[in-house]
Amino acid sequence: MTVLGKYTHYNTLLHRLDPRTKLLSLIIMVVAILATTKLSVYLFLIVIVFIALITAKIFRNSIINIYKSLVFMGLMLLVFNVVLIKTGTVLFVIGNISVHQNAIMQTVFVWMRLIMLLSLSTLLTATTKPLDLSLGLEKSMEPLKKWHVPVNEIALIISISLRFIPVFATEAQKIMKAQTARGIDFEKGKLNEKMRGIVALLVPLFVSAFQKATDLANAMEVRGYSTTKPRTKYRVLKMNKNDFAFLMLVLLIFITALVLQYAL
Amino acid sequence: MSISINHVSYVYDSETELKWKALDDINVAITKFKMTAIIGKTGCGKTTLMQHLNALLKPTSGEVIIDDFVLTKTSKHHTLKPLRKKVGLVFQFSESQLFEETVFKDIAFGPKNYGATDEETAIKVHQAMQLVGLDESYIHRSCFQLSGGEKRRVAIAGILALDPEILILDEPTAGLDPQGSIEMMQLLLNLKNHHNKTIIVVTHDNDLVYTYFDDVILMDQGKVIAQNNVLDFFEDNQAVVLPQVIQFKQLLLKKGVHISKYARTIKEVLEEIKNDRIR
Ligand SMILES: Nc1ncnc2c1ncn2[C@@H]1O[C@H](COP(=O)(O)OP(=O)(O)O)[C@@H](O)[C@H]1O
Ligand SMILES: [Mg+2]
Repeated sequence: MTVLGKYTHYNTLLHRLDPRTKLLSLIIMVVAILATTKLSVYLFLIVIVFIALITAKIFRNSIINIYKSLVFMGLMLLVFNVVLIKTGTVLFVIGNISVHQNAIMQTVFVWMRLIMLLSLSTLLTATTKPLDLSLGLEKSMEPLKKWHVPVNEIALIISISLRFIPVFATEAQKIMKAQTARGIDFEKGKLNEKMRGIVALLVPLFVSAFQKATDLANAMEVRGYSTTKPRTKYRVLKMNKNDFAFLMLVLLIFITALVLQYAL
Repeated sequence: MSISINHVSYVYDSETELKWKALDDINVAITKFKMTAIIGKTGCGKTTLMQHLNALLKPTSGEVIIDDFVLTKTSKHHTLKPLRKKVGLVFQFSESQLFEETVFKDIAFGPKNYGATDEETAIKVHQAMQLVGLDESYIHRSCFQLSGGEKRRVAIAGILALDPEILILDEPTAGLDPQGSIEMMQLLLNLKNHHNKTIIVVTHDNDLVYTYFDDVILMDQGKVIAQNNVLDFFEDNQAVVLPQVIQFKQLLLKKGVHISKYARTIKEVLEEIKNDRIR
C-alpha cells in the first residue's frame, strides 16, 4: 500500500534531486496550474505530470488508488455543477434537468486540477526522504528569520509531522490487520461493516498518536531540546548541475504554459 | 485434518527496491490440539509466518493448508472470512487494538461482526471473560482504565469470543511481569487441555517454552531450521539459550546426579531427587 506521503525507495533522477529544487519546482508548477484555465494548457501540464510520475517510478505503484479516492468527490461535484451551472449550450436533458456544457467543463477542470495537485504533492513526498524534506523547508525559510518568523519551530513541527506519516501508516496497517482478525472486512465489507471498522481503526490510532506525542515531547525535553539555541546540522544540502538543469526545465514548462494560456 | 505449510515464501514490497524475502521456502506441519512455540531471533519472520495462518497475508508462493482450507496467492477474497473465524489471531501488544467504551462491548465486537445475535454474543462474551479470568465486575469498566495485563486479557477474550479452533498468539508475554507470564501460560494450557484448542505461540522465552509447550519450531532468516518436540529439541540443540531448568540439570549431572529428560520444572527435578533418595 502506498500512502500519500510515504517515501518510495528508488534511485531515479527525481529521488536524487535536492529537496529545495523539488520544493521550488512544486511551487512553480502549482502556480502554473492555478494561473491557467484553458483545456489545452491543462492537457499539456497533465502530460508533464504523468511523465514525471513515470520517471520517478511511482506511477505503477498505487497512485491509482489515490485517484480512485477522487472519483466519489468528482461525482459529487458533477451533480452540484449540473444543478447549479446553467451557462453554455445545452448538451442533453435528463428528466427535467438540462445539462449545460459549462457544468461539464467546470467539473473536468476542477478534476484535472485536483489530479495534478495531488500527483505533484505525492511526487514530492514519494521521492524525498522526510528528513531531507524538512531540512529543505528549513533552509528555504531561513531568510524569514529576519522578520522574527519562528523558522526553527515551524521546521520542527513540519519534520515531526512528516516523520510520523509513515509511522501512523504502519500503525494503521497493523490495527487494520488486528480488526480484520476480528471479522471486519475493510476491502469488500458492507457499508455499515466498513463504518464499524473505521471506528475500530481510528480510536486506537488516536490513542496511540497521543501516547506517541507525549512520549516524544518527554524524550526531547529530558535531552534538553530547545529551539532557541543555535543547532548544527548532520546533513548538509548541496545543489549540483542536475538541480539547475531541472529548474531550467521546470521554468521552461512554466513559460510554455503561460504562452499557451495568454499569447495564443 | 491438519495444519501444514508447504514451500511458502513471502516477499514484502515486492514491487520496489526495498523488496525483502521474509519467508524462504517454509515447510512445516503443526500438530493439532498441542501447544507449539515458534522461536527465533527478532526479524526472522515469525510474525510474517503467523499472519499466513489466518490469511492476513497470502503466500507469494507455496500453500498453507488448514483442514479443508487451502490458501495460496490466488485464493479468493470471500473464502478467507471463514478461515479467519476458525483461526483466531492475537497480535503482539494486542491491547492497542481496544477501542470500545466498555470491556463488554469490545469483546462483543468480534462475534457481532460474524453475525451473532445479542443473546449469543452475551453468552460468548461471558464465556470468554471467564476463560481469561476477568470476573463480572469488569463488564462495564472502560477499556482505557485497565492495567496493561488486564487490557491484554480483554484483547485475548475478544478473539476467544469468536470461538476459534486454533489460537495463535504473537509474543503474548512480552511486557508482562513473571507472574503475569505464568498466568498467561496457564490460561493457554487450560484452553488446550479443557477446550480442545490448538495453540501456536510466538515467544522468546525458552524457559516458558520448555515448561509449558509440546512442540518447537526454530526459525532463522526466513527459514525453519529445526522442528521437534520440546524435550528432544532442547536435548539436541546446543545453539539456543538453554532453559534454566536444563542448565540446572546439567550442573547436577556434573555432580553425578542424573535427572530424566521428563522433569521440566525445578519442582519436578526436586521430586525426582527425592524419589531417588527414597529408593
Ligand atoms: N510490513 C512490512 N514491510 C516490509 N518489511 C517487513 C514488514 N514486516 C516485516 N518486515 C520484515 O520482514 C522480516 C520479518 O519480520 P517479522 O515477521 O516481523 O519478524 P519477527 O516477528 O520474527 O521479529 C524483517 O526483516 C522485517 O524487517
Ligand atoms: Mg514479531
